[in-house]
Amino acid sequence: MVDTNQAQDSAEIRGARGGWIQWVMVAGLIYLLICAVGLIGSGFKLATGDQAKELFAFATNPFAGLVVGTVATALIQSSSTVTSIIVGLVAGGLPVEVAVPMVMGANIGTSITNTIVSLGHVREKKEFARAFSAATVHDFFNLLSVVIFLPLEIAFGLLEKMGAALAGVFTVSDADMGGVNFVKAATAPVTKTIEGVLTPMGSTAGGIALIVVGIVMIFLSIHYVGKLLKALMVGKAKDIMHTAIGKGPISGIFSGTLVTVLVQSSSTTTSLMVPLAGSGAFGLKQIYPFTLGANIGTCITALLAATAVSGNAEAALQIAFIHLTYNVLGVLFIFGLPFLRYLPVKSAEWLGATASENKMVALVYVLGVFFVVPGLCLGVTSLV
Amino acid sequence: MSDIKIMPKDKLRALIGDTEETLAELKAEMERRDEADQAREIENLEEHMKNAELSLQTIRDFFRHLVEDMKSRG
Repeated sequence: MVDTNQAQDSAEIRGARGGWIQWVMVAGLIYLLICAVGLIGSGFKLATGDQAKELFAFATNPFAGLVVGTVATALIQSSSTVTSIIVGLVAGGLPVEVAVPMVMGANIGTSITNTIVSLGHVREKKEFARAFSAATVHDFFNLLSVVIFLPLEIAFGLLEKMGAALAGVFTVSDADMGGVNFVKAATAPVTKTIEGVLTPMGSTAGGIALIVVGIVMIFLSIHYVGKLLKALMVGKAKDIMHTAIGKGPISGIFSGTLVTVLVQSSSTTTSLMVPLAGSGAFGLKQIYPFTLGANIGTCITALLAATAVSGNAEAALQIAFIHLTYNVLGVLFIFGLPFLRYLPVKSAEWLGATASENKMVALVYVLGVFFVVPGLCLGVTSLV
Repeated sequence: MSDIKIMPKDKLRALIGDTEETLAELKAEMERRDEADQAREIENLEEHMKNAELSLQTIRDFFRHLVEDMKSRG
């Protein structure tokens, strides 16, 4: 008996020690993520000089920017990675107005992950209908959000103004306390060392090398942070979701936000909803608020990344706040208006039922929404 | 229920009360069971986390099923 207790105790100690190591690794990876965004900003500035606007001239058409964001995120399968890269590019000189549709596109592109996950339920007809609806409700919400906010952005620069106001507040009071940015100071040893190694290659080659290193670092850090946090936070996520049962949609939105912040990935949260709905335990109307919360929770990564960039720091913070504002307003507007609230749910239910009858519809949908239609749009906009 | 048309009003009123009470109990029981099912699913969150990861196998299986489905349709 004593031996069993001792074995249990030592297993717990080993577990606690392992947990500490994992948390240190999470902190280290977030540090690398912040450094990486800084590197992209420096690299972009070095490579383009004052020509950043000209380089992205093809994306000055907002539809082109939207397509770039959608396809890039669908291919990389991580909106956090794409938005962090965008933050870095904005810090390096990419105009904010060009970046706004890209951020909107990242929202659409990220919903491909749970849609593909739902294809795993294809063998059971009813289960597939439920799972595919649970996945595509996120797509429909994000598409509706773009339909509403992109025209408003083109006409009035609504998000750009709100993002600028928020960035103005934080740049003055928090990020730049008395002229000293502590996060920037903490990341300087790593960013300066890498810049010191790569900049002698010349402004163009060195700049491109910095961007590539930054992108690889962002990709790896977000990938491994996600893996670690999934393991570390699954218990907490369980508690949050248990608490949300039977509490209504607002609680669902908060829970979705919280779970996404904890696991640092909206794809993880929305993909989790697929089996929960597929089993029939959760209805589509119960899943829907969680996916909306995931949209909000995912903004934390880019915000974090924007705290330490050099170059155009205020613009970087602005685009990170635009991402957050866009997602919060999307939820407030679409979920707040009764005639819009369940439009994504109804559309997803119809699509789920249709795709379960004819599986080819699911394939056409995935290829069409995430690749073919964006590709055609890009082709058309380049001709115009 | 065939005698419903000749049933005295006070008896009818009592019957409606009983039925409403039973309906409320049934709804509460259904809600309790739904929430128990949801709690059970959440308990399997580790498993769902694994299943929620994107794998090439999922895509391969989907295409295999799609081909089978199309063949069966002729």
